[in-house]
Amino acid sequence: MSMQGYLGIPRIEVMIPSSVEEALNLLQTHPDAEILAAGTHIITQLTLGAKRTRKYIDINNLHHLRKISHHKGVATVGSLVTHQELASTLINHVPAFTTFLQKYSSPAVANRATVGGSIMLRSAGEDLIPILLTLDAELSFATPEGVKNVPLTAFLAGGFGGRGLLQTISFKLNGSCFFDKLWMGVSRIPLISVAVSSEGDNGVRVAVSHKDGSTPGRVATVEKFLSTHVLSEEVVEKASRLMMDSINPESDVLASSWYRRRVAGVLLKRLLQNLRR
Amino acid sequence: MKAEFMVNDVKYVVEVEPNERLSDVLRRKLGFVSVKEGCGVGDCGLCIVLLDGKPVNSCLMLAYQASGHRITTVEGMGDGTRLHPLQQAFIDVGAVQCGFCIPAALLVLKHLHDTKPDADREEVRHALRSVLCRCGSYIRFEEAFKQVSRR
Repeated sequence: MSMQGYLGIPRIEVMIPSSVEEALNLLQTHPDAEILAAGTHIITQLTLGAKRTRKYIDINNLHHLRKISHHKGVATVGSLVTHQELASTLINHVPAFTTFLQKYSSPAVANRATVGGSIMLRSAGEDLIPILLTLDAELSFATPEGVKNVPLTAFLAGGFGGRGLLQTISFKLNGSCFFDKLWMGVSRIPLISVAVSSEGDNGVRVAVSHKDGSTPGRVATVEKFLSTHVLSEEVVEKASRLMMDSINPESDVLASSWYRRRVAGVLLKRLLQNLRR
Repeated sequence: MKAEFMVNDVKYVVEVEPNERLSDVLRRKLGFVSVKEGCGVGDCGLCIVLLDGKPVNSCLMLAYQASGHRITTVEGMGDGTRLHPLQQAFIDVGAVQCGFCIPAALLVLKHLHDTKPDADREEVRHALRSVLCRCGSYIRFEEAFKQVSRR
């Protein structure tokens, strides 16, 4: 792994398909292979010796997966679109993307890390996931049996049955979607992040990076409470306390579960106050 | 496999292994020693180069993935006889202590200067978030950027 003080990554085999069909064939014929997009996570894991997979299907030649479009209030984003491209293109439609970029731990990583990569990780460290959860994101996978559409909530809960290629992510554009997080300097992992999105008379969507352990998710109890109350100062306080009681974040070297609960409540309070303005 | 890319406006065709990172090839095969390896996992930013004008961590990119792209390292910042104004400003304000992060800091500030020459203090600090300077010279990096912006 290390030679003359340099880190290095182990030998790997890379296949580079030039069409979705070819990528799907490779996924079927190489069950031990994984999809490689930009590689900002996989290369790190290989460098640290934390990843055993040695075969990769590099999808960077599938250029149509780099497109962003929006129509009638719905955005469709290719899985190879970078975090920087996504947020800067849609910043005027979704205010949460302003905070997402402002609080991005390393702007240089945002120029490489992809939207599809974040989703496939299904991890609390991916700030995009809570935002997309409140925007009712839906994932579109190419599979040998055809295209399968899966809501992001279902994907986070149970993964994706079978092997396929995430092609696009669709979500609502909402001018009342806000995001905030607490994080520590250069660490790429947030202590906790929260997103909210107002649906007008249909209430407020609330999502958090650490709903259960290190899995992101929507917070149904808080959403239900907010759907039956007008957003007053008192309701914001109650929702904040309810948030603290409704999530079960993990404890790790960065923060305890108790601390994460408290911070989630405070962040939710700030975000709901934004909605009241 | 073959990787074909431009580094500082010179075309390179290099035979690379799939597991060679861009930082490995730039520093060890092509001799661009300004490309440093600090943490090797994308946290410190010392391996930053400009890829098609944008800062990226070259330790988080496989070398073959750079095919068809244009790379700039700090060796390509000046014009061969004169330093880039940011490099001169770093000297003028005494921004360099140990020097290890300086190439990366210069490149992220070059990108900022190219895209937003009148960037304010917060924007300069945001850009520098990609680079971990153990000496804590950020205030002088900011000062150097300010000097060049004023011109």
